[in-house]
Amino acid sequence: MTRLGFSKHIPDLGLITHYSEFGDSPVHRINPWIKFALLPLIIFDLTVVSNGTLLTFMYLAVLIFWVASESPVVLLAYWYTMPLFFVVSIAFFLMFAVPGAPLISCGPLQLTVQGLEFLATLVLRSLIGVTYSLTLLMTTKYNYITHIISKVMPSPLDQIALLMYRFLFLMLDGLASTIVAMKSRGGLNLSGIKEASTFYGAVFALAFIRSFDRAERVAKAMESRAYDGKLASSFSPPRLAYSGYAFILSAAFISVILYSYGRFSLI
Amino acid sequence: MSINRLASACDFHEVKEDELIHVDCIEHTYPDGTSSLHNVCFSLFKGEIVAICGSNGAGKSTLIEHLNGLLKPSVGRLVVLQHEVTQKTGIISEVGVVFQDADSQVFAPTVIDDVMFGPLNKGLSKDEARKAALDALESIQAAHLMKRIPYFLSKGEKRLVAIAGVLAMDPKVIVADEPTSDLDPVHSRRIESVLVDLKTNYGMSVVIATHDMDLAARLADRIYVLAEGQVISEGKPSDIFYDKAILKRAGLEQPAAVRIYESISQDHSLVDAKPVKEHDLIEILSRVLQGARL
Repeated sequence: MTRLGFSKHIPDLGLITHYSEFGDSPVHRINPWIKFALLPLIIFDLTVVSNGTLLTFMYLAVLIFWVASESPVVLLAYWYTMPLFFVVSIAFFLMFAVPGAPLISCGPLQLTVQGLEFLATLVLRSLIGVTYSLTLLMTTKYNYITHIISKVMPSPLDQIALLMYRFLFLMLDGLASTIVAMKSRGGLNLSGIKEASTFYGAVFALAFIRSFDRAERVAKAMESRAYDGKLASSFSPPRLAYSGYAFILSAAFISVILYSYGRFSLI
Repeated sequence: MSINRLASACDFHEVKEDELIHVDCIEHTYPDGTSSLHNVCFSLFKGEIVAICGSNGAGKSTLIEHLNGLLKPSVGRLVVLQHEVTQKTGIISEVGVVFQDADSQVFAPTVIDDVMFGPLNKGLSKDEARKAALDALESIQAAHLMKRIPYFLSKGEKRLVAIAGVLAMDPKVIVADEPTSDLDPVHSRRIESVLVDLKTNYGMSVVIATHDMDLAARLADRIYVLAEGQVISEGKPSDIFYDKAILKRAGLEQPAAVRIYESISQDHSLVDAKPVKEHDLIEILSRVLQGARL
């Protein structure tokens, strides 16, 4: 069992790798190029769409995608904790600044219907992005990811992106081990928002520092095995069929429509 | 024979024909000004296992990183396979390093991908790299791990995968930093037998850095003792491990077999041998006991 298994709120590196390498769901069988192309389109869509109903549909769509990938739904709920924590901690205060029909007033602070909508749309946007990104990671082999990144990004940006991808995993690993270390000495106090913020602030700071140290060791190990700044890709994903191109173009077309309508505030 | 080297002056020596690694008078200073190696000379010959022994902070890991070209000495000369090393390119494939922290060394999503990492970087094709990786895993009886995810492996298995990752690059020398630290006795013995096997069956030379004197006694043909970044002694295990002053200076202890032998020989007359390995001691004691029965 990896150390990550100790904290169910943090995406489990081992589990993600297990699903991506050995999973065989319908989503796993979708060409990786298609799944990759959809990521920027989805991010674009959730940026331009502000209509709550449409965002809810988008969220349900990516949720169905997650379920179809045969990834554990309960785990996804746990993994939402971190992004939700960040989004809510920022948006919570901002929503009081949104003008509109007041629901509750307390001195200069006003909670409006529009303020609540603002919070809800931000949460939905973050959940759509997180759910799709996790589905992509859970259903695409790492070698395919390295290959695609090295093809779509110029050097050395591709190497930076690939190493950042590994660094993210190292950071998650460090995060989990820091939580375990703090828990084991009674340092886990989540009794209130203030305590939780302090706890997660300390955990992130420590994990970040530890990850740098660990990343340096990984880099050294990579260098000792002839890594010279170019990550050799061992497996290339299957070529994209004409139907795949057609699918991506259709998705791009939908994004353009959403953007056009969005500009005229219809959605 | 044990040589005391107090390192006041240091001369370059001629590189011998069967010398795979030759280090002359290297110095290393970290960016913060800390001196970690001072006038270190080191030799590794074909088909031998050499142990670099020292306490924590003695400079073992720093020396190891020089042998593979990961660190460049501030002063001194490094000759690998008869070629003076001026840049790391070239020697990385010849001198494979197995780091102490296998968690950081094994980073790919599956074991086979990880072991293929080095060969692919060497420029081998996908099929050649896969064959090299499988051969490496089979050579250490770890082929059954090939589809496993490294994060789910035990420490001992990770260490095996790290060794396979280095072997797949077909090096002439394997350098292992604390190869059995953190391992249970069963996995420790497994790693030890792999290292011995590399020497006896594959003719490779092995360097281990360790503060475990029992491990050094079991494996090493020759010992270097490091203290405060300097080689304070070099010689055969039977000479080094019976030199209490040197071990004390390096902050090390005698291996168990040596301690037991010395303790018994104080009160009983034993054959004048210098056993360092457990089975050598057992042999001597068996002979003594047999003689007593007769």
